[in-house]
Amino acid sequence: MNFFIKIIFTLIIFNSLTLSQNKETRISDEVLSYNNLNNASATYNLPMFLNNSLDNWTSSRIKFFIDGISFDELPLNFKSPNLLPIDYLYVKEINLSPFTGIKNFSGVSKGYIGINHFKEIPDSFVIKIHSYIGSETGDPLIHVFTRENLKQGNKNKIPLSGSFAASNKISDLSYRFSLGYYGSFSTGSINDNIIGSKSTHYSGKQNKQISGNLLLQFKDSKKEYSLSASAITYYGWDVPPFISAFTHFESYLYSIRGTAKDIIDGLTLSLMNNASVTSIHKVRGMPAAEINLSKYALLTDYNFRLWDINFGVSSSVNLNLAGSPKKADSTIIKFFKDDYKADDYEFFISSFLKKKNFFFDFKIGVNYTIKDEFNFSADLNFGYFISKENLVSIEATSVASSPNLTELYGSYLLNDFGTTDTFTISGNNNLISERNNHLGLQYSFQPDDNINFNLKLFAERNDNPIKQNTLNSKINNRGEIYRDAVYINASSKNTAGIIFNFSYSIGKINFFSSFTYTDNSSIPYYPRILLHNKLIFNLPINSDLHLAFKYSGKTKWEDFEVESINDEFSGEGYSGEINENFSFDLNYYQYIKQFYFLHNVKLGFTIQNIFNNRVRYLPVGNFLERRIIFSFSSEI
Amino acid sequence: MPLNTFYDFMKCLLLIIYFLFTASVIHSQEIETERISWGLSINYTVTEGDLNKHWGNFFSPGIHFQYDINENFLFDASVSASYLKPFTIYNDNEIPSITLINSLAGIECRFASTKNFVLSISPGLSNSTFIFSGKAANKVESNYIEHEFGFFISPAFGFNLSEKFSLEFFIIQQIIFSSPDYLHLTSSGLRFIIR
Repeated sequence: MNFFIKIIFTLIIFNSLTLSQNKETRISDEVLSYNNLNNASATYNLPMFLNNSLDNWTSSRIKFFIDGISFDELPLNFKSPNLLPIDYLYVKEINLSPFTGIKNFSGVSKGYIGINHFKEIPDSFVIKIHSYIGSETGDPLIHVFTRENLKQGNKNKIPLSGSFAASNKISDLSYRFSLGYYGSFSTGSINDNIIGSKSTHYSGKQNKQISGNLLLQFKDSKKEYSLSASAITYYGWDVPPFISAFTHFESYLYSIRGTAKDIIDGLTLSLMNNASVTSIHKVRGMPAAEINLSKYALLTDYNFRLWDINFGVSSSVNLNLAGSPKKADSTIIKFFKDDYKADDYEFFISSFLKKKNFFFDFKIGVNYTIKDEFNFSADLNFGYFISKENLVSIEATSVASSPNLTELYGSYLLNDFGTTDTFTISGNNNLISERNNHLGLQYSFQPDDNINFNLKLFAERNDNPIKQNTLNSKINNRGEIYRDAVYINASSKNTAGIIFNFSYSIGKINFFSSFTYTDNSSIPYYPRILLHNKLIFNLPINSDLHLAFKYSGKTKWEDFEVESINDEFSGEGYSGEINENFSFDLNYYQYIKQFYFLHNVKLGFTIQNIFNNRVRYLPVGNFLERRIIFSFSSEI
Repeated sequence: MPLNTFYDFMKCLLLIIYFLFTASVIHSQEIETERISWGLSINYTVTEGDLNKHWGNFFSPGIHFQYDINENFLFDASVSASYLKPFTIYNDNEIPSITLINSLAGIECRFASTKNFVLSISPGLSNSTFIFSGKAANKVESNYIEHEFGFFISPAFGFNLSEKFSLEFFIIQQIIFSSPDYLHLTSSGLRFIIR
């Protein structure tokens, strides 16, 4: 009955409110809004993605691409778009593929998230600003005094955050500069207890990020040269996948890229250096450590046309570095015992043919990996237009991806303070590459611009998946799960499923729906059913209202199972099961063309998880509760 | 907790900026001072649950602002304050006194308006600040000031006494998002508005 009332209430809201693009907080919110990805985070602002159902949280093989070039030097096996050094205000488009595929430039991956922000730099001087502030709701207030055993606690809060960018074009030279500050708190009833016990010094302090970007572009009628330098810092508490426990650290990530386009017709050359420097801070039971990851790459991409077919040849030469420069002593451990250098090489050929009734896309390549293996990968797409509105397509892919240096050589030691129990998480230099095979059959129907219908059947197989394997685990008396774990090549996994996407526009109302069924019998940590519906209303006073409903089915995380005998917190143990999640979200945007000296003002008001269901996707950290966010963006 | 105070202050500030932007831009893109009216209010609040059991019902004086967007819509904001003493049966080491500052902001929709009579309804957001005092406040150490969001809906009817003055009777139904239970407040009162 209660649920029925909620549905009625939601429909009433639907009938009175509209939407457009979604940019209320960070790049992760934007990525999440694109489809039914899982927000699998312990702290809301840094979600990890289980984009591909066969992926592993502790060892994600999802690749990030910034302007077509990969960025994978994230520390401690993090996979969060919020850690990418990008110019957030100029994100032009986000491309997502939950499935295995090949992209140019270091591109073999089990799914990818590509962020392109090469928006044209305007001819005149433009300043852009974007800011937001928000909080989860529901502090105990008076109940601390009126109920027994209830402690005062703070909810996840977002302090005033935002970014600023300036750009201009002077003759053939364009520049764009941006600076941003993002804050968040990893607070909440579960996190506070764990964090507070580990450090009184760092407890209650906010997580901070500062980002900076500079893009210089020289473009005349024939050639284009660009230089991009970007950096982002991250300071605070989080649960890195490698450690799987709350860690206080600071990290500096940067990327420098130089690209020369069409130096000879069709030939593009790029030089790149990506790096991250991370310090784990010493807190109770967790020693300090330093982790440096770096990659240098020379990338070439040559495109030409022959017999009416587009061809591409791309190659990359990569040098990967990892090390822990600080000397080990009683308070600092060596995350990497030595300095590691490993080179790898990639070479791909691609072709693309499009005719009136069909298209054909084929990529094949070889990768000589950091493990001195030769891996072949191939990606085939074929589509046939039955009629102008009906398209049938098939995709078949087989790609191999090698372990990274963290999974091969990283190591960290925790101590459950107050006891003699120690736990080690370590890499494994015997790992070999994993291989992912994907087959998909798709039908699309688009009779006009207002209706889009898409149905996809897929089957996938993952051989020798790289993952962190738990050997021994316990729940300590603060409620945190500690474990001994080592990276392994696990036994093969299979899955199959169906994805259904539908969108419909009528007048000023737009409706989007996405449904995914995944056979999760060999991957119980992935929800069998994911559902994402969204209604967008364009209101008459230059405003939009977006209403969204998300459902994610039950999951079970076998690596987090703890027997009752090893549970010092409640004595009940933990089954690793997470209940199904419902979430209703509302966004309201007001657009103002001009307000004094401000142009294109956009004011946003968002309520996430309206009915305050306790949403959780991972067995660690807090539940996600109702959150209210205000945002503001404008140009000058 | 000073940081929390700052964050909630910023939230309130943004909320006010948001509504002022909306109100001013929809009509004229400029805030016209002659569209602003203000007044004083007094209301009596009936509480429920733990709030009723330990502190009971209370009176609160307040100040009210309105901004005319057009004939049918107004931006409404009000702040009221009250002091809640716990019932004497409770130990003052356990239950603190509360200074409650209630800030409401919403859009008032006038759906029946004549020269002398106005009927309206205002939905909106609220921010409630709880300042705990007395011996029991030590229990929460530096968290003795807490803020929380909520929603409210307020029907009202008013009489225009003259061109400059009006008297409005209102009811406010408010939910404050606290855990484990929400706080429900039902207020009724009078406000005297000067244009």
